[in-house]
Parts: sequence; C-alpha cells; structure tokens
Amino acid sequence: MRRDTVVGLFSVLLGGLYGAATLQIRDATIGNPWSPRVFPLGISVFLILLGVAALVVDRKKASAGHRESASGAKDPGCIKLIVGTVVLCGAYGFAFEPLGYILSTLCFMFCLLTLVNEPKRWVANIVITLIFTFALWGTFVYVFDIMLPSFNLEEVRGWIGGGI
Amino acid sequence: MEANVMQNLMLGFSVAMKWQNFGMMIVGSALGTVLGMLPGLGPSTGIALLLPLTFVMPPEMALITMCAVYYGAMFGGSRSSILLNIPGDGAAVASCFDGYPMAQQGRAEAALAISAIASFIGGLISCVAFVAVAVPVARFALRFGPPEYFVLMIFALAATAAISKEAILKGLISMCIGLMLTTVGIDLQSGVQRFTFGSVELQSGIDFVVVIIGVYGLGEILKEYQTLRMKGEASVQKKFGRIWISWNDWKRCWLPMLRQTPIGFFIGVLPGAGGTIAAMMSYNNEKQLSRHPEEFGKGAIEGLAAPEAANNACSIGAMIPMFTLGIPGSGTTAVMLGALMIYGLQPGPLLFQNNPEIAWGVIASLFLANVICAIINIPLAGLLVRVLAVPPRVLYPLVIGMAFLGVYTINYSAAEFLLLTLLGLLGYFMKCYKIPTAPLILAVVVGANMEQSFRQALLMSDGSGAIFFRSAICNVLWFLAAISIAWPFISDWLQKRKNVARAA
Repeated sequence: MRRDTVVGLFSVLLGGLYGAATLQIRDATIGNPWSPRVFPLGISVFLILLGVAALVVDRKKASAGHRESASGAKDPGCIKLIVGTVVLCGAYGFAFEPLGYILSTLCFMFCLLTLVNEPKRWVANIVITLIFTFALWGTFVYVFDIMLPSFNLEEVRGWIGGGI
Repeated sequence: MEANVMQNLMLGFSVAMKWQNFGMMIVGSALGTVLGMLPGLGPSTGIALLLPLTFVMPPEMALITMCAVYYGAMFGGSRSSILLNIPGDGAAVASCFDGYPMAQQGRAEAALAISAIASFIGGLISCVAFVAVAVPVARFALRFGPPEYFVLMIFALAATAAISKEAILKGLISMCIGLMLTTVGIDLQSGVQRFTFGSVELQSGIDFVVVIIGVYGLGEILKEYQTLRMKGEASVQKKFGRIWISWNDWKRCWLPMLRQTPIGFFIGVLPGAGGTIAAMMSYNNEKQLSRHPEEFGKGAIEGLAAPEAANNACSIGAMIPMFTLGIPGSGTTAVMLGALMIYGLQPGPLLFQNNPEIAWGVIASLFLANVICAIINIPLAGLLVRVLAVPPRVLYPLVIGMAFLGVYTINYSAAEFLLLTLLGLLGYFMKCYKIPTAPLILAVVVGANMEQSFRQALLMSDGSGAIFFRSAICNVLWFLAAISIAWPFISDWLQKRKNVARAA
C-alpha cells in the first residue's frame, strides 16, 4: 500500500474514533452543555476531511503514474530491535516502582544494551549498565535531591499475586 | 535604543552573571554542543530530555540553561557535518556541502574555526536585533484579546504545518493529532472528564513533556534503529593543528556572514520556517552572489560560513515570537515555551512586564552563551569531537534510559512510562510515513491555551463566531494564515512559470 494511502486511512479512522469518543463526553452542568465537545468535535471533523483529502490526492497521483520516493535501505533486523525495545520499555514501566530504581534499571539497561549493543559485548554492557545506573542514582539523589523508588516487597507481592 | 531597554538589559546581565546561572550556562553550552554534534539528537530532543532535570532549578536558571543547550546545539550541529559528512541536525545540512570537502582537503581546522566564528557573528548580530525588536513587538501584543490569540495560534500552526506543498496535508494531520492529545483529561472550564477512559492517571491530562520526549526522543531512536547496524563504526579525525583561519579566509567570509545573518534572523522570526530553510536559503543566495560559484560544493569556505551565520541568526530570531507573543516558531522553541508554562510563567508580552528579570536575564544570557560557545567550539573543538566516536548502539540505550528517568521526575510516578512508549511508537510511525512531527509538538504546547482562547472568545460573543473577524489584527492574522497555506502552491506555480520562461 502506498505511504500516503496509509496516512489518509489512519487519519480518517483516528478522526472517526475520536469523534465517536467526543460524542460520549458528558454534558457540562454549567453554561452551554455542549461546550466541552465543541473543540474536539471540530478537530475530529477536520481530521476526517484531511484524511479524505490525503486519499484523494494520493489516488490522483497514483493514477497519474507518480511513484513514491524510496524510503531508504533498512536493516532487516531492525524490527527485532524495535519490538524488543518497546517490550523492554513496557516491562520497565511495570517493574520500576515495585522493584525500585536500582534493580529495575540494572535489569532494563543490561537487557537493552544486550539487545542493541549485541550479547557478545557483554563485559562492556555490564560496565556501562553499572556506571549509568549508579551515576544517575547519585546525581538524582545527591545533586537534585530527588528520591528514586526503592525495592518494595509488599508491592512485589501484590504485583505477583495480581499477576497470578 | 531606549534608555529603558538598556536598563533592562543591564538587569538581565546582572541575573545572567550570577555565578550559579553563569555556571549552568557553561554546562548547558558544552552539553548542547555535544548533543548538537550527535546525529539523531538535535536541539529539540536534547532540550526535551534535559527539561525534567531543570525542574529543581529556579525558573531563570532553568531557562538560561535550556537556551544555552539550544545555542550550543546550533554551534555543535556542524561538527559532524564537517568531520563525518553527517549533519548533527537538519540546520547543519548545508554545512556538509563545503565543510566536508574542506576536511577531506586537510582543512578541517579552518572549517571548524570558520563554522564557530560564523555562528558567533551571526548570533551576536541577531542578539542585538532581538533586543531592538522584542519590546516593540511585546508592546503591540498587549492589544491582543482571546479572539486575536486564537487566530494567532491558528496562524502559527498553519505556518508550521504548511512548510511544503507535498507535506501540507500531513503537517495539518500532525497538528490535529497534537490538538487531540491536549484535550485528554478534566476540562478545566466545565469540570467534565474527556477521553480519560476511566484512568485516574489521565485525569490531569497528558503532560506535554511526555509527548515531546516520546515523539522526539524515543521515536527518533526507533527510527534510527532502521539503519543502526548498517552504519558501521565512524572514524573521526581526533588530531588537529591550530584551529583557526587565515587572513585570506577571513577576507572571503566576512561579507557572506554579514549579508546572510539578516536573512537567517528574518526566517527565524517566521513561524514554521526553521534553521534548515535559513541555512539552505543562505547557501543558495551566497552561491548566486559569489564570484566563484564553481567552487561551491568543493570546499569553498564562504559556502560554510554563510549557512552557519544564518542558522544561528535563525535560532535567535525564533525566540522572538516565543517570548513576545507566546507562540513557538519551531519544535525547539515549543519545548522552551512549554518549560515557561511549567514554571508558572505567562509567556507573551506580560512576561516582560511581570518577570523582567527572567525575560531580560534570558536575553542577556544569549549574548554570554554566544561567547561561551565560541570559546568551547574553537579551542576545545579537538576535545569535544571525540564524542562523535561513541557508537550509536551504546548511545541510544543510554538516551532511552535518560528519557524514562526524565519522565519519572515529572510526577514522580512510573505510570507514564507506558504512555511514553506508546508516544514513541507514534513518533516512529510518523517518521516512517513522513508525517512532520513539529506541528504536533507545537499543537501540544499551544493546544490548551488555544481552546481556552476559543471558548473565552465565544463566551464574550454569546457563541457568535463573528468575534474572530471583529478586529483588523484578527483579519490580518487570518490573511497571513491563508497565505501560509497557499504559499507553497504559489511558489511552486511561480517556479514553474519561471522555468517555462527560461526554456522559451
């Protein structure tokens, strides 16, 4: 599928979903009951119109034989990197508060470096992980006076229990 | 210049020269230079990542630090253009054209020196112009009411979205996505929850810092993954002779620097037109004006000096609408505008009245940061470029780690980590499908105020939309917004006509 077709469809779909969600907003109890909906509804309609316009322009270009510019060479392994990073980021979000900053960041950074900097450089990955984790911990706690979460056994129990 | 302006400027210097502020200016300039050098991490990403760390600082120190980072990044962007032929940011693209050939010819020292000197001269002249222009513009902006502000924001968003004919629809789509994100949370005027889907975390809305770090920081890195393992190790020149220029080089460069600075400054003031356009336009201008156009692209030193001066002038010019009108002209100034709001400051004309020490302190810091950046980038260039040897496969995980920690400091909660990841994916999607991200960031920053102005104006007029056309200012702004949208088509048509005439 052409790039601009995807953008057009995405825009129409997003605008439609957003518009539907806008209609679900409760009425305001003070003033005009529709006032919380007016601005989002305007955006929704505009987004759908833009999506339709993008689709029309793209169809015209396609029928005139216009070819899209190449998106450039890609590393075939990049999907693994992207999916792996997204999964690790999500897991970090869940683990950060129950496991505490140090434990969760050590695990997150080591896994991320292993993924991106490759497992064969494991010594460098460990050293970078340790320096990064403790240097930032020191900076936040002692320089910025910001407390970072510490290991919380109760939360971990609740977390594991909830998971089960 | 008015005596009042001079007094305020002196007040600004007294704020900027406080040792804590001056110290952070040095740190910010060095950090900005390093961030600007690293391909993939431009000033917007750099400032977005550092923004949460400034929450512990007083507002003037935080803003001075961020301006120094922005400024440093503008100086640093050309280092990798010259040494690696990879621009640190978009604005440094034009520096590749002659900077890299100069380095290949064994003139890396002269290239590094002239890029810093041109940046210094362009920045210094623009700082003076900033001081001269800021107060009259701010005074004029005091006439703006809610309808004028709403239309002004429409103009700023339209100008940013409609940067090229090809990307106009995508730019507007990006703007709408940004506006959508600002409507999440409890509506402050009616108390009604919007798009929270029962989530307590979403009730206070989506913090714009999370959006910026997600879309610019994480999204950019995910995009860079596509070519990460194809780039190989960069081999960077680490040993240099004396980093300076000859008298002959100076004679060739002084005029191009002086004549391209005003162009860069003017482009910076226009919303949407950023450093890349300023640099490219000044390069092409200079090539047309040069007595040796055939040398351009082969290591002509003025081909490096002109875009560097224009690029830095542009970065100063871009701060004028931000400080005086409260509208950002670029992604980076949008981040800084958001920072002003976080510190509880009202961006726009009232900033000069209510917080002169902050407004003028930041302006004075631009003069000082200019000097600091020149010092960092000329004698210390050989040391700093070693950063370019850090492989991206190590750098990117570190940036991701920093991004998450930065987001944690916003609300001291990890609840936004998931949101950050999703916004990173949105940024990646947008970059893959060539949807510009700057309109989204601008919309996220001004969206809430824009809706507020819109609703206030409608309240004033009992729901009549005619209020948006009531004054000459509104009508001029509508006209400018329409011109911004139409301009890419007009310029395309003019170019075609010119080509036809030339062919005939």
